[in-house]
Amino acid sequence: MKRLILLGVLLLSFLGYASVSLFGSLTPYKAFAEAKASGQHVQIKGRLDATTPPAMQGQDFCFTLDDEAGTTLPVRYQGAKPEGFDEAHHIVAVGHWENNAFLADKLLLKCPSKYEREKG
Amino acid sequence: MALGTSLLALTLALALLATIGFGGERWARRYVWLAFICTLCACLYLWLLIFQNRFAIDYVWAYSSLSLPWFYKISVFWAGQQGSLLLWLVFHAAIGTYLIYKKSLRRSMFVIYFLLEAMLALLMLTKNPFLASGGQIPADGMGMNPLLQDPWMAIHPPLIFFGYALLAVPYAASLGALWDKQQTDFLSLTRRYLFLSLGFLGAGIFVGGYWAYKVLGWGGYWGWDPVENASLVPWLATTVLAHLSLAARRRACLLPYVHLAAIFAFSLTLYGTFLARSGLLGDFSVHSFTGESIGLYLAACNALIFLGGLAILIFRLENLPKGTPYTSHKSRLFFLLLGQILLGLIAFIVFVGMSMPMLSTLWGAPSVLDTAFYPRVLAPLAVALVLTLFFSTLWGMNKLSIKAYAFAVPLLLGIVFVMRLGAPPLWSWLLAGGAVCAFCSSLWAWHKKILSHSATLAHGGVCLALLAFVTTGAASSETSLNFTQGETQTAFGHTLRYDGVRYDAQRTSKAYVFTLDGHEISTLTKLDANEQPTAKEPAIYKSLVGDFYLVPEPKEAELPQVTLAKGHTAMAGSLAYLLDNVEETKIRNEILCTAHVSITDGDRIETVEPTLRADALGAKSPSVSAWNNTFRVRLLEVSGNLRHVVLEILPTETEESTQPLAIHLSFKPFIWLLWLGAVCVVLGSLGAVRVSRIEQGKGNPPKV
Repeated sequence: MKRLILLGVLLLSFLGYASVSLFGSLTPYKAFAEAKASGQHVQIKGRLDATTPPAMQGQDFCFTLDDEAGTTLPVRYQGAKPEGFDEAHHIVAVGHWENNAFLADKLLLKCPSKYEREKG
Repeated sequence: MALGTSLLALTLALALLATIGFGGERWARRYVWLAFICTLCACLYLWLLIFQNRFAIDYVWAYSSLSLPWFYKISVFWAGQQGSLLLWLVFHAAIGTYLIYKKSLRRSMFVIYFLLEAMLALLMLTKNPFLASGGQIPADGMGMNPLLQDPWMAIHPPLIFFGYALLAVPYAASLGALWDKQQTDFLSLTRRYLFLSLGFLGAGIFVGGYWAYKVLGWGGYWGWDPVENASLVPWLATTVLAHLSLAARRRACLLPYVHLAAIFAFSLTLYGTFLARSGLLGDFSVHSFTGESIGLYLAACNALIFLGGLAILIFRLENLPKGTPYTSHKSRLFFLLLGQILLGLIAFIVFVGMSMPMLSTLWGAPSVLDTAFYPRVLAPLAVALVLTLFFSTLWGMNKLSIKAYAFAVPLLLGIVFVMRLGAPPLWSWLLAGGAVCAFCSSLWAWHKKILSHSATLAHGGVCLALLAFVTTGAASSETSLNFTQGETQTAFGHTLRYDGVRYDAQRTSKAYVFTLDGHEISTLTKLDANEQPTAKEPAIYKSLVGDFYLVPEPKEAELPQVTLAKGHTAMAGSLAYLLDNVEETKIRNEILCTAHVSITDGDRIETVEPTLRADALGAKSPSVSAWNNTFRVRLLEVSGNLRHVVLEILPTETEESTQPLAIHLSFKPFIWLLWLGAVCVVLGSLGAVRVSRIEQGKGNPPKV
């Protein structure tokens, strides 16, 4: 019986650790305004702004995103221009707002690509 | 077109007739045969449409093309969602027919199995691959994604879906046994299907992982992507089901858990399909699926199968045998059950993680889970799992039992092994040490005839794979280098020389060629008709101590362009270009433009004739060699009045080779342990289809 209790305690403490870790690893989707205001680690989604061409600034790749409401957000990605960037119809960026730019540590490109059917 | 849809509708009708048993048992059997023949015909018809290049059919148009090699045309069948589901249906029908042929289905199992078949057939009608798009018939298809044009990827879906389809047998048999108040009889019926399924699901997952490693070039084999997780969770659940089924033959009181595991295993396959295909994960997964109407129907099926199964189990719970599952903590059975709890916990954590984008909407904004979560939380569980595996064999040894400290040696060996590779964190030492220990104890148990051949293979394979997770996950090293042609650099104690770029004769692919310690290795970049890179495969040099994994990162250079007007001369570099004429020919829906351009340096004149072929899918413009093969030109644009063209000037192979190249190089120590482990796990699972001599009582059966 004692061993079962020990196992139970171990299991519960593990589940506790897992849930703390789980909620610590979550990055919520936010609107541009919210991402700017909070400064938290968030995920944003938008289209590439056609008026400002993407460019490398030092080691960072910089571009501007538009959301559906038409708000723009400058993004600074720490890395080279990812493959398939120009073809992407949506860009998801994970990061936080710092020094007047959204500092992204991860980009997810949604490419319609030749191999996927456009709906409609 | 209508033929395919009618065949599917007929399958649905026949499956329903078989389910209700219309016309008695003999007719029910005939319906099953007919339903199988119908789905088989539907499959052959789909292949016929693909091989005839019938681009009027949406599915054929979206995944095939005229130029696709015939062996990849076979795999066009399952390149998309609709075809994959048809594959599932035909496997399901085939297995059902085999069961009928073997006369191994009781009436209740029969009803449940063919109700599932009807459900799949109905699903097929909503996701019909035979639909025509209407309008003008396209001259060519979109073609298969070049990343998927790989032998490993071509066999991946059939493996996975055969595994899924096989899981329906334990599900139907378990519910049938509950319904009929049967006890353990169904276990011997389901055994072969269960272990076959385990083997095929495992093989599918490993093939997928190997493909990702070999083709995608991001350096790993497992990315914790929701779609990958969706195949991992059913495999884990099936593993639990397999172990519990074996244990329940001796301990009937484990039956409720067997039923529960069977319900979970099959429901989770559907849940995974639902999650991957519903579009809910559209913004979270690299596998870009667009929103599909299929979601709601799949969710309803899923709920019915899961809750229905659960309801029958609860309803019959009191008819199931009761008792204590194990007598001593120092028994093999205790550790076997503990291992299943751990596997279940791993499955649960992956399940929660992959469902997080959807679950998080319950309390706020949809959130994405950082994939670092998985190894962080699963590592302690993996350590516990190998220790459990170790103890379960150790305490199975009755009088032959040896002292636990004999295994301090392999534990230390494992720890020293990963320490020497330089894996820092504590958990990785424990995991490696535990894995080597469990590997040795499995071998020992095999030697003492306590573990069967197949069980030893599977368990040993798991240990090797876990050891490889440590060596490749925590102990791999990486670096970025810049090369010029002919330059030699040292990396990880080896010499690497960059030799240049090499194109194949048709310019459909190019390779960056390197020499590593005297061995030539090359990457593969597939090119489209415009010579733009599509799929980029890394160069891998395999050795006994590990793999060198080389990913080229070429800078996209802005290529010079020259705009020409008919009859006018334009300069580019030291050469003058004159557009003599542009010809346009229309063949069906295609337009072919040929520009006649004269190039001169003042002394010599050379004429080039680049072409541009345009159809509904876009323009294709291959480059042509110019100026005595010192550069190449490609037709970028042709004006509507045929008076202006834009030429792009490309470097030749020799010239491109002289450009500097950045590469990303990594070293993955002992990754072959993972492939070896995976093969062992699959062979072990498949081997367990047959009842081993040890289970028959020959050998030293363990105390349970």
